[in-house]
Amino acid sequence: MDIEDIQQEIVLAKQYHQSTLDQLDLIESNHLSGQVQSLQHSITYNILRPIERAEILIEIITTTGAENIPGFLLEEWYLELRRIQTLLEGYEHD
Amino acid sequence: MIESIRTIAKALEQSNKALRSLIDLSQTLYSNLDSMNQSFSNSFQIQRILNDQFRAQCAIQLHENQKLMFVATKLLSEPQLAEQESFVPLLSNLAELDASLQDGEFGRPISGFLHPKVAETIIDLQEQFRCATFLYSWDDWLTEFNVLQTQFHQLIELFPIEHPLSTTLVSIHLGLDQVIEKIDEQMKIENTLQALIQHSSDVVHSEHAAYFRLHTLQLEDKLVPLPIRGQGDEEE
Repeated sequence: MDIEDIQQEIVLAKQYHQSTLDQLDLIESNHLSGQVQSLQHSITYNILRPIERAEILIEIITTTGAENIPGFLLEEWYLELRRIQTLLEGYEHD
Repeated sequence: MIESIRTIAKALEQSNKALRSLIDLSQTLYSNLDSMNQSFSNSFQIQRILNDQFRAQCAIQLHENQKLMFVATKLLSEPQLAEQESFVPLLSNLAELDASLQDGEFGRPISGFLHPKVAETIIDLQEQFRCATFLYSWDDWLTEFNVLQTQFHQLIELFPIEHPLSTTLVSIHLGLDQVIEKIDEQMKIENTLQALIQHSSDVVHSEHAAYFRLHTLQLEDKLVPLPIRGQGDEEE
């Protein structure tokens, strides 16, 4: 697994979603406020939170060293990173 | 002939010292495995059985050695015994031993006898590797078992496959791989738990906290108490 690739993807995805959240903040429409809030909630909890988790996982893996982490846990963390990685794909073209 | 018997007696004496040194090594391993078994809920019983087998083989070899030594010493003190017909079978044992001595380091295997070069290496090996007196961490235990494994590795190289000790030594060496692997895992668990504690301040959201708490619990569950070096139940 290439941690550096994921880190680059994280930066791009975070920029993209933060910018979307900022744009959503600018919408001043009473009849759309419910949909805007729902979208903001969805972006925050379904995308940004897993990305934060990936950042913490990468930080722990790189500071501890993959060779110093028990195999069963490292596998689980890699699986989690792969799952989160699917949320990060495609932002480099936007 | 007396000179040959004297050389044989000397070689047997050296073999005796080497065999005792192997028994000491087995005792150290026994004591360490006993401590490990107490921490790991008897996970290393196979290793213990192999070590018991090793000790039993060494004891048999030592017994044979003492029988041969008795004959050689007796012949040195009373050379006229060689002419008696009842002494011929005993003499043939010594003749076989002499042939093995002439064969060299990897000569024909004779129970109770080790070639002087092999015996000397075994004695040196025991003096070279002193096991630690105090073991305060998993790292200390890892070093301890690595030292033991190195000793067994060097012993494997000393015994040809035809020798009865050879396979047992290889089996013990392989068994020690598993012990070292388990110790290594404990060190990894400790390191990762430490890392999770250090990064706990980065975890600001409750869902992350729950995720990492789960893994902390998983790790704590696999953590076993640090073994305390004992003497083994046989010593009690």
